[in-house]
Amino acid sequence: MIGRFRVLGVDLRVEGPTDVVSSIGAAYARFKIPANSPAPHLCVTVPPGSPDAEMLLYQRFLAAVLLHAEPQAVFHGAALVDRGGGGLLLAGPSGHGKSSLTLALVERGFGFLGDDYAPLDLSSATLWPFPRTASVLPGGTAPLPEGVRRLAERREAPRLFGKALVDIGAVFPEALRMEPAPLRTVVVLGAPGTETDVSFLHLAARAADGARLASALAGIAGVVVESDETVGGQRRWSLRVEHAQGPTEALGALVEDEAVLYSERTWSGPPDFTQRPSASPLKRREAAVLLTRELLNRRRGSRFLQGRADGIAGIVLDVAQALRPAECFQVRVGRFAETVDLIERLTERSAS
Amino acid sequence: MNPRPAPGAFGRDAGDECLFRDSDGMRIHVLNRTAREIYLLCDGSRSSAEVAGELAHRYTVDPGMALSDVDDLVDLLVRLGILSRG
Repeated sequence: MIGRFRVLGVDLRVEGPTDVVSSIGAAYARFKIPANSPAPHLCVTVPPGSPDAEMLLYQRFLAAVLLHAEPQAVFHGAALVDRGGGGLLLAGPSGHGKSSLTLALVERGFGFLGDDYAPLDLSSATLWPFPRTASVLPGGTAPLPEGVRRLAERREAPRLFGKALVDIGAVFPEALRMEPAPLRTVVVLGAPGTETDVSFLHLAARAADGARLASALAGIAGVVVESDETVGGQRRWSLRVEHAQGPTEALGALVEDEAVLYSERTWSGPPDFTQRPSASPLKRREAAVLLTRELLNRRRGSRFLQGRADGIAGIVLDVAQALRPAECFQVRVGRFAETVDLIERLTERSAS
Repeated sequence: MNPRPAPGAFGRDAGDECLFRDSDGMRIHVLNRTAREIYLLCDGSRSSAEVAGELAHRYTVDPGMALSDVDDLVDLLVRLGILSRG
């Protein structure tokens, strides 16, 4: 089966097993273009019979987008529009309730730009739409708007990696925004003062390449393997990364290895959802450092990096400058409704 | 010679601070609000004494003390490759 998409200016032709292309097509339904569109920039496919077709094709699809997208910096985060028309960038590690908070804010009248990928044009400081579907674990305990939960629980709901795909524009049509919004508030989820010299990296790779990657991991100082298991056709690691020993460069090359199907890095443990939430102002440079950790298109060779000064510090500087129109905060997530209230108040403070 | 931005220095103005990348690309120098203001006045059109005079006027401080502070900062920024004297 073949699907055609235009994502962040990148035209793609995706070819693979029908069920896999259908799943990607459901997640990126709002990015579809007619099959007879002019020749695409890129074609992504997987070998016939590949045991990891879903993961591999999706990884290649995303990698192609992130390598070729320009000029936006694409952050792992949500993008919303407050009631005054200002853009809210909500970033932070997985497990901090980003998606639930996003949907709760949409339910309260915020505009929706995107849930998982937040493109920020650094030159104009505008947040761009990325209306991929939300991914919801059916039967999960995360707080969700009733309309979203109902759609996710339907047996015929399209799924990707076991999660139901819900088009936010179908549940909240008035919330969907397809135009960029000027950045006004940045909220980074996580505990203020979180230890920064340790992070946690989760990797999944094709099992056939597992021994080679395990050997490479063993040779990197500062990497502690906390778990290592083979599940189906994949080998999965949970790693503790001690940055004082300088493992970043070697690890970066390993994460970009073709055999690595999935990687995710977190910088703090899960939040305590029973505590009172709190917020603290961030200087723009502090926010830029935290956001740059969540920057998805900084892989070597990406179009975003072309023409930029070398080194991570150069990216941090560009991000910091783009944050000039914004008020920046770090929010320690706590009880859900109070956290939503807190973020809403922060956007009102930025507007004033 | 009047202090001015050094050719090749890579910096960005974040509004409340000015940020400069070190030549190795791995470190960032941060100029706080006051240092940012001095840096922005060092555009090649003013001597250190004139920069100090402008600050003394803006903040009603002793011109001699302002000049001492400006000289110290300009020396530091020249050493870091952020400003040059010619």
